[in-house]
Amino acid sequence: MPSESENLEKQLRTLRKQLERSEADRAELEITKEKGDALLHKVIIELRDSKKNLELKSAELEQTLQELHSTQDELIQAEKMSALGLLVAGVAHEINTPIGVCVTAASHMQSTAKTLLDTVRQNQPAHSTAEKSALHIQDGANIVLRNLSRAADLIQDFKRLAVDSSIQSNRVFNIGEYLHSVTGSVHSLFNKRAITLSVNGPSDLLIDSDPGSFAQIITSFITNSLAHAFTPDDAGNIRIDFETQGDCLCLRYHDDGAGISTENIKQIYEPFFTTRRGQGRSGLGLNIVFNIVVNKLKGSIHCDSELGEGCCFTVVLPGLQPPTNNSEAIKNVSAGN
Amino acid sequence: MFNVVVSHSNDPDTTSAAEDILRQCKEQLVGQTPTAGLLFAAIDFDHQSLLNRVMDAWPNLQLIGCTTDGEVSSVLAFQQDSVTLMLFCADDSVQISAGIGLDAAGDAIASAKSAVAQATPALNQPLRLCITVPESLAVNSKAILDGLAEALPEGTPVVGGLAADRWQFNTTYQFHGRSLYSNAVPVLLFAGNLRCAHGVASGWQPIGNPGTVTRSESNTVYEIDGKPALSYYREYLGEHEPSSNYPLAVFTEDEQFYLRAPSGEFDIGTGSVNFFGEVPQGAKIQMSQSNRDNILAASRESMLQAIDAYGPDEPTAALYFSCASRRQLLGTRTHEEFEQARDNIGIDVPSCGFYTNGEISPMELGAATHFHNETFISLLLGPDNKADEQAKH
Repeated sequence: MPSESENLEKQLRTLRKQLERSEADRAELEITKEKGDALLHKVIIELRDSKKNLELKSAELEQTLQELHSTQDELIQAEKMSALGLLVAGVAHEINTPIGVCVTAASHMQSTAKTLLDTVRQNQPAHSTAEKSALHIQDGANIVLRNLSRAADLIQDFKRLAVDSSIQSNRVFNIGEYLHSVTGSVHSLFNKRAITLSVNGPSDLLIDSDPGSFAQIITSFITNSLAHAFTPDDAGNIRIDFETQGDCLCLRYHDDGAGISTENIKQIYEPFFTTRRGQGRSGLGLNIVFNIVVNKLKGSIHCDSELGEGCCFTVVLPGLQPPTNNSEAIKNVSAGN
Repeated sequence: MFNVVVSHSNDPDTTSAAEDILRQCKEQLVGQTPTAGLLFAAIDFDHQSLLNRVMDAWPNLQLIGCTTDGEVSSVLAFQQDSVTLMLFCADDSVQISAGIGLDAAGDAIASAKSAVAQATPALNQPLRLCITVPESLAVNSKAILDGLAEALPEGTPVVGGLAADRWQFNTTYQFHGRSLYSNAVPVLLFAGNLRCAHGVASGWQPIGNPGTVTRSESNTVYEIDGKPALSYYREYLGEHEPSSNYPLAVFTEDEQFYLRAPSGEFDIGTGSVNFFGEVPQGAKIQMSQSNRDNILAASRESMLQAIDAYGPDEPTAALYFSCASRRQLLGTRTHEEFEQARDNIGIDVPSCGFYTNGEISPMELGAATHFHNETFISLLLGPDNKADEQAKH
């Protein structure tokens, strides 16, 4: 066993060594601390830089978002104008027919009048011939008047639709009559396709709403059916039913075309969603309908459809006026051709 | 039979320290002759004299060991400038054999293979464990592990730590019997009815901006993000030299990362920095750091992993290999690492270990061995009683 003095010597040796070691350790710890401080400093600078970068990126994103919003607004405006364009084209097509008839009738009248004039100038008009000519001219004038009246009606419709589409203001109007005007004006879209279009509902239903929005909704539904539900050779039916539902108007738009898949039905109101982008569709039609119904007219819209089972949009809108007494169902069926 | 005793002396005088550890061991051995031993000694000792003293006491001892950056044991807990000796007493049920491979700096794979080849002939039972404490400076540690993996039967766990020289990064020494080496790979192979379990955890986390290693070769990184690796370090550490307590987190393809610590060697001319272990060219990297709480939490996690893997029995012995960088950052709290180990594993379990320049273990037993930095490895050993019972039947 070591003696006490040996133990003391050992303790002294150990303590000396430990002192020496702790001096060395302290110096190393100081360096380690300085390294830690430097690292911290650098990391703080990096964080500040990345914060700046993030702020920059965030501002860029904000700018891009604003640009996107603006582009979206422009596209929505363009889509609206294109709907108006469809109405104009439709009305122009409709007016063409009565005007054409008028031209034919007028030229016939001109020729009859010339023959009658010649006979009168020769002072030998047969009573029967003169009467015949006068009757022809009278018939012609009737035809011209009738067709000009038709054209005037159409122009009136067009004026109303055009004004309604460009000026957004509420007024009280008859839903049945208005829907007829709208469907009548887009008749040309059917372009000899075997598709029937009917509007069914009470004749005296009045609503205080924005008629232009109605025109837009119906035009979008119809163009949608013609683009997606039916192929150009398909025969089919489109039906627009409307009725009261409490204080509201319930409008159902049906077609018996191809239907919409469950997967797509979730997205139909999303802006720019279309299954026909390559064919010039913008994917904004139903988004605009949704915005008009929900945001502008404060109503609701719902779509029921399955692939192969056609499609039904139910639109419920407020603003229905109290009923009058002489309610009479109107039914109008107009063929696509 | 598998007994383990441990001794530890903090006497800076080599002769007195040797007497200390021999006396402590003999008192515990009560006449038994140990078959194998592990010796971990601080760099300032006269190592040749230490080895002679130990081998004079037990001439047939299968002894390996190395120099360190701090020592721990169940006798004196954490110490610096000390020496600790663990001795294994086993009958034929557990066979232990030592070997050494030289010139690891020249051909690390051949060196590792020759160490195993030297130890293997004495064993005729299935290999259970390889403990190794190789050179750390100017060697490719991964190549040493590759050599060991080639030489050992598949699935043999390799656990250990790289020799250190108390943060000087000049010369480390490895021990084999009476012989003292540098640039060597000592191994201690365990065969037969031995059960072992281990845990490994780090506590370092990546910090700062990610970068890419644009030019590297083996352990040397020349460029990070097209700039000298030394500049990268200086950006983070100021004018201080790269050191192993600020390792790089090297990311794998699955977004996991492992740590590679600078060895302290760098070249001001080329701006290259050397690491303990290979850093692949093209790897995504990030500076990483830790604090004392995270380091201690990871040590605890490593022990709990080992205890969980070992099962309900108390182990016969425990070994710890902890990174020297942990000691550097833990400072006056270094002793808490071992105290946690003792509290979790049991106060009576003979244990020792050292602070290393790099750690070695698989992530889990049976899997491939990895070279780690900044980790704490806990290794628990004991007799495999199930194997004993099966043998009896």
